[in-house]
Amino acid sequence: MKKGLIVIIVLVVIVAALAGTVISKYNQLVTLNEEVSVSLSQIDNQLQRRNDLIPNLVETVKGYAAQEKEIFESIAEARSKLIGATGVTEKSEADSELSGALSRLLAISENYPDLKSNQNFIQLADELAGTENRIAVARQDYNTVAADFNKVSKSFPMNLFAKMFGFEPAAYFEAAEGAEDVPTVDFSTQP
Amino acid sequence: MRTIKFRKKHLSTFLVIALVLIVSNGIGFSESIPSATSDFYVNDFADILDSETEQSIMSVAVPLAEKTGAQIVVVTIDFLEGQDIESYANKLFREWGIGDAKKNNGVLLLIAYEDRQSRIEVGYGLEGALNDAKTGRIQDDYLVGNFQAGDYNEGVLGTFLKLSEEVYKEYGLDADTLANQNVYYFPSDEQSGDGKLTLGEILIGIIVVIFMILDILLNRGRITRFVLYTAARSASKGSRGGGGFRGGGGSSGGGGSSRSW
Repeated sequence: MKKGLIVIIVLVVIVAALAGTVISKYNQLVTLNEEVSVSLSQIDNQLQRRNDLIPNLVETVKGYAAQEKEIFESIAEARSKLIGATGVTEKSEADSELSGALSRLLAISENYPDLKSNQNFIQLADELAGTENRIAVARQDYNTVAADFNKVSKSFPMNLFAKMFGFEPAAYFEAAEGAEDVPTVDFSTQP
Repeated sequence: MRTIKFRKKHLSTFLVIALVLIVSNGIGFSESIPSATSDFYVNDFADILDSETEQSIMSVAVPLAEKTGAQIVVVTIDFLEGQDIESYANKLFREWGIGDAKKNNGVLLLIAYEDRQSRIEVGYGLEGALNDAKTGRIQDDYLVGNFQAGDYNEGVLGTFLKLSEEVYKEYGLDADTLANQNVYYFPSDEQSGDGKLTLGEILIGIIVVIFMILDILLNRGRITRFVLYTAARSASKGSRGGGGFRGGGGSSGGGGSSRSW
């Protein structure tokens, strides 16, 4: 009799553990999925913020270096590409293109001492560098939760259920080689 | 008789593994970031500040944190060890939890002495009071020149005082009222206290109770006793090591600016 009771208890434990795992994993996936969209919108916010900064920055640089037409064109091109981009992969490609063009713009400014010491330019460059850094942080945070989400949805038992519940794997927001570098401007005046 | 004993042994191994799986929760630490000193608000790892400067910083930072929850932290290190200062600062900011967990009102002034770089990193909650351009301006005005001249104490203290002034303003305080006012800030309760249990938590609870019953029936409660004993031990360990200051659990989204000198 005692033996039978033990068998029943063990069975109950196994069934409860299985059901519990599926339910808690499902809840975990719902939470992670939510976090993935929140982090993605964080990136979007910062991309928008940078988008708003660009016209002012370009105007200021133009005031001192109007002849650098090529760089202004490539910024305008990358900017409109990013505005039109849909989906994580397309966005991350357009983002790294624009980041590259902007860091070239800041590099060019090194050749114009008057521009470099212009207060307005310094402010805009700081805002730009800060925003680029926020994008980098938001991208990293996004990739972390996307990886968590994918890990849970691809491992047992959710690999059997994820499709059924309508969970698609999250795409990574990847930076192109070298695009992680936040553009820095050296404002220090050497004595 | 023998087979039952054998099964019991296996069952208790299974119980131990299951309990460990349920209880354990992986905690990761990155190695390169130093841990905060007990002073928390000033951490002179590069050893460029004299004790007077450190005291001045503490005498402002401690009451500011007591009254507003805002934490301004100064850290000097020698090298960034191959990382850029932006990622280093963000990692340190988040690991130390600078600022209040809900208000995210922390500020970090990081000096990488040998790499000749500095950064002011600002938590979400103070990005309005200290926007990127302003933090750049503060470093230009107070830090870069002093550092080029080798006046590290003045550079750090000037930058710190300007930062704290901006934070006072944000909270409608100044240094005098800060010293006199009898207002104290209490951190928001960190527990996510809506008090409701999720289905998963209830199930885990039921499973744990069944484990304990099985353990007591088959194993004379050895595992239960062991778990309770370790829990009690780690709890008493955790309550020790008080004193000093620490972070409020704040975070930063990478706002701020960097300079080199």
